[in-house]
Amino acid sequence: MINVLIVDDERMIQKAYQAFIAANEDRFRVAETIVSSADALFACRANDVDMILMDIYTAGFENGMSAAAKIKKEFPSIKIIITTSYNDIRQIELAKEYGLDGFWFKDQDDMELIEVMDMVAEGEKVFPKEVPDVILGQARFSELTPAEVNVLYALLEVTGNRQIAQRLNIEESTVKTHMKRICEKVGVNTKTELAILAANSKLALPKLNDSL
Amino acid sequence: MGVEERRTMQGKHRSKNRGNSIIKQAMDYLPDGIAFFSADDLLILSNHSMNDLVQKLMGTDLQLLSELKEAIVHPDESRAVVMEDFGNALKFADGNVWRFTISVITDEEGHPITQIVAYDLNEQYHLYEELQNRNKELLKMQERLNRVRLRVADSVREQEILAAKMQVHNKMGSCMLLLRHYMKGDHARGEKEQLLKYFRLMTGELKQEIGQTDEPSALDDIIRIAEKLGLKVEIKGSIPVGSVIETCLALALKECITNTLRHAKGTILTVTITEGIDVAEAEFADNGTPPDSEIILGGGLSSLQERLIKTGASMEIISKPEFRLIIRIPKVAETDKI
Repeated sequence: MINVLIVDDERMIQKAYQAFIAANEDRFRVAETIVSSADALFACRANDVDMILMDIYTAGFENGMSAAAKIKKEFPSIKIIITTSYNDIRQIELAKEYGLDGFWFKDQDDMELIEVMDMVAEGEKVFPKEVPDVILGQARFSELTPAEVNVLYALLEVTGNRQIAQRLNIEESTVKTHMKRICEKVGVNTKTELAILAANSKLALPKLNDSL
Repeated sequence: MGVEERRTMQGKHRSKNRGNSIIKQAMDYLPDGIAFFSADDLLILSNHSMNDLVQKLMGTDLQLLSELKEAIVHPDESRAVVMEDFGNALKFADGNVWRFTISVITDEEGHPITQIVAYDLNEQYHLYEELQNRNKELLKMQERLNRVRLRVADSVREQEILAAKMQVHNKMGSCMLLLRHYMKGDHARGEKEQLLKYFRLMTGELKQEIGQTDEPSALDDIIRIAEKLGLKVEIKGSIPVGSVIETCLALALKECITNTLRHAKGTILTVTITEGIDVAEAEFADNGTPPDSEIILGGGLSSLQERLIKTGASMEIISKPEFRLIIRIPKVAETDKI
């Protein structure tokens, strides 16, 4: 029997997960359900946990990804599946880097959560084969080059061209060129419009606390 | 003094005066303002540019060093203002910006001479102003972006809830369908078990729906987990509303639970909450063994203190006669801390 810790701050989502697990009670049971990733390590110490369904954006602006990384260090045998509604593709790479076991897009994953849980329980690492191709104005996210994607993500963090250049360690003129091309592809006139469009497309998580 | 000697002296004087005149003319061509003063405060030499600036700054001719210094440091605000965020340069009423520097040099006989130079900073100032305006725009953009991201976060949450509701309701739909088959008597073998399972789930959902009126909270989670670990948490007083307060309480509660279980070996942790106009105070005490000596900050308590300070809260530890932890959390606007 796999004991599952659910970390999600929405009661309906907790219930949906609890319902999936109850419907598969031959293999899974809910060990604990909590709202904040800041309490996940505490919950792991108090409960017999084999698997965690971890949301990234949890109660109190707590970051589930960094909490998962810390739990993995202390409890390497606990399988951790990241669940999110954000289309922030950087999170997939982070999850891999932290040695986590799975990643599931709540809205648009090809697989059912229970399938992912079964595969992870068998010891597989399950990450989306394709990331959601977000529509960004007149373009699709996949139409942006990797360099343009980096500039776009940096724009959501620091906004100024000079700061973006410093962050990415490239010339300010290069940033301007990328920005111009992205705006042309997407069909907007200013980088403010671009940033707001990208934020509305759930491309990046808001700033979260790492308090665990 | 002989005639020849006198002629030589007069020649020297003429030569010196001619030299001074050439120096003055050359200085007048300088775009920067420059003036020299003797040790007794008197003006020795100044150029046109400095004279014009002094007229604008003081409304009088340049005479004394002390007057000029005073006007540079405390100008008449109708004539010029000191720009503290631009290296204390002076912005004149006509919009031009100049920086005054003072230094002491010595003449060939070793007498101190005070030199005041005024540099034209208009170009740099316009660039600085442009940069300031761009920074303001960037700041506005960042604020707007932050608001959008928070709004998106709310909309993501709503979408998630909707999707989850749909999934739960789909399960209920399956249950109704199976029930219909069952009632009609055309149920297949094994459907009865499936039906009962769905029924259990559905009634469980409904029971939870009726029993739970509040949103789940981190504090409830921690209290429930503590009970699993054999520690009862008793809250006296009502928990003030606000995510910052709740976060602080949750952090302190976790630390106290850990300490009570690990060190004091207690079974009850009491949290007494009192609420003032500006501050909420929570006192944590356990029924375990009191500490042998004064508690020294370290490990978990230090991290707790750091995190509390970040949110504007404070912490006090009392070791005798029994352990007590008191935290004070200011009731600030929620958005201030997020």
